[in-house]
Amino acid sequence: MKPYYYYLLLIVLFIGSCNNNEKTGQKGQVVVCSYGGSYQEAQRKAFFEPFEKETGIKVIEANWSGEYAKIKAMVSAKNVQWDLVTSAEASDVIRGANDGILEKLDFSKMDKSTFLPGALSDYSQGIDYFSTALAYRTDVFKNDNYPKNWKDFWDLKKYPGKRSLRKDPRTTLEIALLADGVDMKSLYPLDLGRAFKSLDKIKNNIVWWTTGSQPVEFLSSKEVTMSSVFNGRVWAAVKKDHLPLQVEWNQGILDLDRWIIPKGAKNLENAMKLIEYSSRPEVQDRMLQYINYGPTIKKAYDHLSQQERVILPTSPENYSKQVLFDGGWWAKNEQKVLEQWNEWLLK
Amino acid sequence: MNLFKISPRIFLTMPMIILFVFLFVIPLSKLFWISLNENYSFSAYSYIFSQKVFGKVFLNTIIISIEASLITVVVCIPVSYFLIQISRKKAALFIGFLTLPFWMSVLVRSFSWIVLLQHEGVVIKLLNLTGFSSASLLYTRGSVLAGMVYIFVPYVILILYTSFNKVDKNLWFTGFSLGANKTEVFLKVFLPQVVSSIFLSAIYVFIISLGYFITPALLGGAKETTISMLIDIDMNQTLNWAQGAAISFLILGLILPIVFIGAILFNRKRFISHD
Repeated sequence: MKPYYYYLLLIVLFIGSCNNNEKTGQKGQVVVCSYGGSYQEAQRKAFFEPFEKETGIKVIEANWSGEYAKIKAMVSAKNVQWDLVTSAEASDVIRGANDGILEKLDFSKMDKSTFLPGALSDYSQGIDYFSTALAYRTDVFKNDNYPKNWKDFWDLKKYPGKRSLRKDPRTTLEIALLADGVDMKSLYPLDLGRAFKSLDKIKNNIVWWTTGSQPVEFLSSKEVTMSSVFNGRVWAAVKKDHLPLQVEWNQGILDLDRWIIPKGAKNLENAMKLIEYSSRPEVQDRMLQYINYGPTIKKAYDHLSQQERVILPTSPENYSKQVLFDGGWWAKNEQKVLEQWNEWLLK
Repeated sequence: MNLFKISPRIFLTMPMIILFVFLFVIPLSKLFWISLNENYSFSAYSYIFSQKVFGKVFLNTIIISIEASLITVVVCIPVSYFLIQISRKKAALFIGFLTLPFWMSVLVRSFSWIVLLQHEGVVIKLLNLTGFSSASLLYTRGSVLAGMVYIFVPYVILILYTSFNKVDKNLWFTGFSLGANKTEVFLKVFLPQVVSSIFLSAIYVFIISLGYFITPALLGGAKETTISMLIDIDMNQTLNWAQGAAISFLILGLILPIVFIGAILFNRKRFISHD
């Protein structure tokens, strides 16, 4: 073989391997991307598998950790691999809509009035509510001597031990302000100076978490005695591993997992069908068997058991103790806040 | 073929040149264009220079990188020196063990440090047994450095072992026969011949450390924020690609002079070409 044929062959092989052979453009399927782990497992059992059975549309799963850059890159490369994505970051959804990388949702086949207020926007539909709440070890803080709000979380004398907070200003600054005595109703716009001053008080006793599974790991290894957590993680750990953990709903910060559709999704119609399916009351009820995140449909709350009332972040008793995360404020201010945040971390 | 006849040298380096252009020049030009907001605007750069936090994180990254490269080299010199003293067969065995971690993902290796250093982990329990008590080793500068050094050590040992091996063994005997003791032979005969490769392996670790992400992100506390984490936030979280790209070019601007200085200071001929 002449040498240049050899190079030609190499180039052809290279280009061939760059070609994406996944047949995502075919009819009769939908590619869904979510966060993996126990959450996606719950979605699979409650939504994907029954949806496949009912409609014959094949659900292909992918997962991510919320890297919005992936959607932006797919959309700008005009090669959109995902048809439907679960996103838990309100500010990202708003920014994504502003950047024009999301598809407007078609609510014509759904009754908007059946949703809880705030669960819908033009570009997203709430799947479920989760709470960033206070969790503690019940073997360290027994009987009535447990932290009941973020102020107690800041009280190192009365409740000793290290604490863990999310290494991200989102929710952590809210928590710092609540600990400093700011009223839940007048939380936004966030008073940044006050929030950082409040964090200064416990900075040396914080172990930072970055992924949702870390707080439970820290708590189970006794690295910390209390932490802010995504509530579903604690429930899963208590149920599976019988860890002595408890979630305190008081002053939790509620936010939504949302469906979004990247602009130019290849199976747009099927994605909308799956969205509609997941919002049916009986389907939302089914989700409760697998994870304790709160349904976004009012009807799903009609016949809750006593057990479910205790473990759901959005049961009427728990909902009233918490505050709603303001994604709009964050979408506007995130860049600036992040720089202040990084500077504060280094101090 | 004509092409082959005219310049076999260029022809043979074609694959390298093609790869270089496609995987380096073109993407980097695109990235530079993004850093200019795709509009010949240097606003991303001027913003970075106007905010204190970037300077602090840059400095922080440089300090961590210097510490990592110094510790790595200090750890590796005695090991490599030991490896050239023993028989080749034994040395091959040791190098085999040393390079074993290459078969595992960096992610797994960094996580294993979490298991070792965590609150009820082996290291703290051992420390407690020996009378020292420490509440937490994880998420400190120390844990970051341990994780990074651990990952760089096999590379540096391979580099140093090769260059140590090139030193003529007869020089030792010459040294001894002229009345020097072991320490003097090491310091006065051996070290001067390998000092440039030691320096170059330190630069090598330093450069990799500057852009290192996983280990500091996993093992670091709040104060171990490195420049790559800021790039990650810009690229993945706030989608401010211009700023992320601009920071990347500032790192490149920092690394290139170091490489050049290293090459000029230490006998260019020996390390850049072997003609």
